[in-house]
Amino acid sequence: MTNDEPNPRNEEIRLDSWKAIAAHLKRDVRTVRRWEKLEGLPVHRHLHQAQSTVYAYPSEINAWSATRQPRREEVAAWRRPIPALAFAAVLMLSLLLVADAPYSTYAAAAQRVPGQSGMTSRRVWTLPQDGTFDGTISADGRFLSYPDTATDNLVVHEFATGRDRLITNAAGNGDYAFRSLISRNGKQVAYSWYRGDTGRGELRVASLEGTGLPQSQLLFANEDVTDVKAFDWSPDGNWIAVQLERKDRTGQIGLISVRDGSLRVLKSAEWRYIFELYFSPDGQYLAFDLPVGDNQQRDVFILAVDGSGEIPAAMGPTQDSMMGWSPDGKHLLFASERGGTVGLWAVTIADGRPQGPPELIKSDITPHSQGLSASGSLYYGVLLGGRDIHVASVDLETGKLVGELVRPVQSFVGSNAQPDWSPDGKYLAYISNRRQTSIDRVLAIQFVETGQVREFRPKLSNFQRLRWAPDGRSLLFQGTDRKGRQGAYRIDAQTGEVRAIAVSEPGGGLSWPQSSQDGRKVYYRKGAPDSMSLVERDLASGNEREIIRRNSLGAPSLSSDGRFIATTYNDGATKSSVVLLIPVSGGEPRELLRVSQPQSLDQFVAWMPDGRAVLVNKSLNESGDQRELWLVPTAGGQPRKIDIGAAWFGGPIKVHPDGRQITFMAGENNSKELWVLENFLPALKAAK
Amino acid sequence: MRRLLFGTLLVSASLFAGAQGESRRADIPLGLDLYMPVPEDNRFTAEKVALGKRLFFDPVLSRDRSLACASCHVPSRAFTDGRAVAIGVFGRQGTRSAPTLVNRGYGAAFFWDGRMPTLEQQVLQPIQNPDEMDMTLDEALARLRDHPDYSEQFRAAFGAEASVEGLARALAAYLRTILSGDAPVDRYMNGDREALSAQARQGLNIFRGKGNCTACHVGPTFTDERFHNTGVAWRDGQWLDPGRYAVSGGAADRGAFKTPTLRQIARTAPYMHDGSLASLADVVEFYDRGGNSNPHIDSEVRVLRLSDDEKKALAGFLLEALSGDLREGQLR
Repeated sequence: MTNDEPNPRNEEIRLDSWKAIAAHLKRDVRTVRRWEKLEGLPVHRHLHQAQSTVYAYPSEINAWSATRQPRREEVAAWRRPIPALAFAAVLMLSLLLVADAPYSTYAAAAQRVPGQSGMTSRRVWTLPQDGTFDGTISADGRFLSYPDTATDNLVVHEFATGRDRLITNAAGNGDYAFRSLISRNGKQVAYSWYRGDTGRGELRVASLEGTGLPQSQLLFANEDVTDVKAFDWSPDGNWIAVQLERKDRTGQIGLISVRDGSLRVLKSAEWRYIFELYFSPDGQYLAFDLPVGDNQQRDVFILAVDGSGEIPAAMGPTQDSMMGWSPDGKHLLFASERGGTVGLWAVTIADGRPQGPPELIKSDITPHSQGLSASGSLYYGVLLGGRDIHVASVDLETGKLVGELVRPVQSFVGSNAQPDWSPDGKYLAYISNRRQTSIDRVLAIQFVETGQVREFRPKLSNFQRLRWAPDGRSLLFQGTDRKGRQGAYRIDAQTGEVRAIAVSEPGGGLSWPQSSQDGRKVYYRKGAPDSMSLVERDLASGNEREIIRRNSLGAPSLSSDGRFIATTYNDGATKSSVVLLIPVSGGEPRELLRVSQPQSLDQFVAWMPDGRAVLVNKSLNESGDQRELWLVPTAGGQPRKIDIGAAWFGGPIKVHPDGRQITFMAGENNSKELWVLENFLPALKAAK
Repeated sequence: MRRLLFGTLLVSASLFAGAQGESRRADIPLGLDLYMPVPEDNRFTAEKVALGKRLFFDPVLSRDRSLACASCHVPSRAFTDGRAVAIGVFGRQGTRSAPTLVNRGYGAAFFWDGRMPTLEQQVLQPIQNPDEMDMTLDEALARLRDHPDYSEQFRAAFGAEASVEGLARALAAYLRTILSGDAPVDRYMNGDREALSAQARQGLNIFRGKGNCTACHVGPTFTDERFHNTGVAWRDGQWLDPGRYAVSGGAADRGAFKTPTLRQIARTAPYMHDGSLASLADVVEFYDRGGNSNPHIDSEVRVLRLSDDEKKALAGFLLEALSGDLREGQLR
C-alpha cells in the first residue's frame, strides 16, 4: 500500500492560531511570527480564506525547534581563515570578556589595535539574551536602542546607569518593534513597528524626553507596503531614510518626512535589499550597500538625496557592507572581505565622490554597525559563542567516541550549519548565515584536506537543507526565490550556477530534495502536514509519482542503492514517533524503531554508507534539551546508542563515506556584545 | 566600428563642446524614482531639451523630409504609432513595432533586442536605418548646419555648431523628459485606496500573484529591462525574428525580446514586438495559455489557468491603472 489515506483519528491536535503556536513553543506571538518570517518555522495558511488564518502541527514545530540554529548565535570570530592557535586565543579572550561587569572593567579590557597608533576597541555592554542588534547608538554615545524579542518592545539602554527604558508597550497580540534609530539630537527615536492585525510594518516616532513610557506617533503606514525599515535620521532631523518592501516583495529606498509622513521614493531595487544605509553628515547623500550582478556580492553606493546622481563608492568581487560616515563626512566606512578577512575600510569622499582607493583601518571586525557617535567612535555588535558544525569520530561497534569532538569550519564560527559531505568525502558543504537582522546566507564548500572554502551566494531569498548529488558535481537544496516561491534547486558545485528543479504552487510545501544515484529522478516531501507525501519526480518528463502519504512525515533520506527511503513519522494516535523504511518501488513501509512520549525522534535520518543501519536523533524529554544518537539496523537487530561527545546536538546528521565520522550541529548558545572602536579617525587622517 | 567612432566623438565632445545653460532636473511624476540615471556629460539644460524636442518633431532628419521621430512615436499614442510594424521613408516597412518612449530615461538597454546600451547611441540609429529615415549622419549634419535656426540653437545648447554628439545628446535629453507616472496605480500605491476600482484591485492582485506578470514587469517602470522569450516570434516550429540572439549570440537568447514598459499601455496597441496582438484581452489570453511553447521559452512563462473573471480583471487593471500623466519637455 503506497497511498496511505490519513485517518482523522490519527491526526495530531492542530495548533490553530498564532497564540496556540506561541504557547506550544513557550514564546510570545511576535517571536514565533518572526521565526516564521525569517527562520522558516513551519506554519501553514488556509489560503482560500480572504483573511488567511494559520495552523501548525506540533510534530513539525518540534522538529523545527530541535534543528533550529538561532539567529542570535552568530559569529564568534570573523576571521577567515583562522589558524587554530589564533582561534583558541580569540576564544580565550572572548571567554574572559563575556561576563557582565562594570564600566571600569570594560576599559581595562580594552584592546590596542596593532599597527594603528592610539586606536582601541573595547567591549561596552552585553545585550540581554533576547536583545538584537537592530538599533543605533545615540550621538553622544550614552544610549543604545534595541528591540527586546522577549517582550516585543523597543528598549533604550543607558550605559552609565545600566537602566533600560521601555519605549513601546506591546500587547502580546503579534505587534513588535524591530529596526530603530535615535535622532541626532537625542530627543526622539524612530522605529519600525510590525502590526499583527494587519500583517504589515509601519514607522513610528517616540520622544525620549521626560521619563516613563513615551507616546508614540504613527508617521507612516501604507497598505501596499509590507515592511518599512528605518535606517537613519537626516542631520537636520526632517527626514528618515527607509527601505520599503512592497507587496510584490520588491525593495525601495526612500525618505519619509518627519513633519507629515509623506514619502519620496529615491530608488527602486527590484528584489534586492540593503543591509545598512546612512546619511552623509552634510545631509546631501545617502550611502548604502546593495547586491550587484549574478554573484550577489554587495557593493557600496552613494546616492544624492535629491535624486540627481548615484555613484559606486566601493566595488569589487568581495562582499562590502556599509558601516557609517566619519563625523566630518570626509570618510565613508565599510566592512569588506577584500583583504581576506572581514575588515573595516575607509574611502575618502569629496563632493559625494570617492577619492582614491579604500584604506584598511582594522583587519577584523563584525559587519553589525550600530552607528558612529558624534566624536567618531564606531559601535558594532559582536556575537560570541560556539553553536556550529561539529565532527565526531566514532567506533560504531562499541558506540564510543574516538578522540576529540572537532569543529571542521573555523571561519564565521557560530554562523555555520546544515553540513553534508560530498560522496567522495573530500568536501564538506554547509550554509553560513552571516547576519543577525537580515538574511545573508552563503553556501560554502570546504575542501576538507586543506580547509580552503569556496563560497556562493545563490540569487534566492532563502535556502536550506543541502544535499550533495551522488555524482558530487552539484548539490540540491530547498529554497525560496526572491518572489517568494518555494522550490527545489540545484547548484553547480564549481560555478555556483543555480537552476530550479521544481517550483511548488502556493502552499505546496516542497522540501528536502534529494537526487537518485543516476541523477534522473529527484525525491522530495510535499504538501501540508495533513496530506503530506513523499514524491518521486522524473526530471526528463517532470512527472511526479507519490510514494507514500501520511499526515506527518519527517525528512526523506534515500538509501545509496536507491531502493528505500528512511524517514520518521509522528503517530498522533499513539503519541509516538517511528522510524519508517519505505520501499521506493511500492509496498508496505516497515517500522524500524518506535518511541513514545515524552521521548520523540527528530525528522532527520542518516544512512550508514553500507545501508545496513540508519542513525536517528532521539529526544529524551519534551523540551528536547536531552538527546541521544541511536544506530538502528535496517535488517533487524537491536538499536544501540552512539556516544558523540556533545551535550546538545541537532540538525541533519550526516555520515562520512568512511562510515566512521559523523557531522552535526552542537555547542552552546552565543552571547551578544556591543563593542566600540575609538581613535581610528586620527590614524586615518595621519595616513593622509 | 561605428560604436567606437561614436565613443571617440563623445569624448571629443566632452573636451571641446561644454554644455551651455543651467543644469536642471526632469520633473518626475508620482510613482517614478526621483533618481534617474542621467549621464554626467549630458545633464539636462533647458536649451538642450528644447533643441532635442525640435529635432524630434522635425522631418529634416529623414531622406525625403517626410518623417520625423514623432511620425512613429506619436505623442497622442503615448509615443507609438498604432501600427503593427513601423513604416519608414518611401513606405518602407520595418519588422518590429515602434515601442513607446515613455520613461526611457530609466532604461538600461534600447531597441527590442537591446543592441544599444545608451539613449545617446540609440537615437542616432533610426536616422541611419534605410527602412526608417535613411540618412547618413554627415547628411543630417549638413542639413542642420545649413539651417540658421538650428545653428543658433546648437550654439545655445552646446556652445558649438551642430555635431553628431550634440544631435545625440539633445535628442536623448529630450527623450528623458518623456515621463509617465501619477497613474491610478501610483496613487493607489501611495495610499489612495479609492484610486483603483474593485475590478482593477483584483487585477492588480492577479498581476502580482497568479498571473506572475511581475516576474518581468516590475518596479515603477513596469519592466525589468531584461530579455525574455515568451514565444511570440516562434511560429510553426521556426523563429520569425532572432531577437536578442542577434546581439548576444547566445542560444538561450533566441526569440528573446526586452520587456516593454506597461506604462500607458491602454494607448499603445497593438502589442508585442511585432504588433501581433491587437488588444489587451489577446495579450492576457496569450499568457494564460503559457505563451508559444518553444525550445528556449522563459521559465517564468507557463500556463496560468485564469478564470474568465480573472482575465477580465487583469485586462481591466492594465487598461485602467497604468495610463496616467504623460509629460514631456518639463524641467525644474
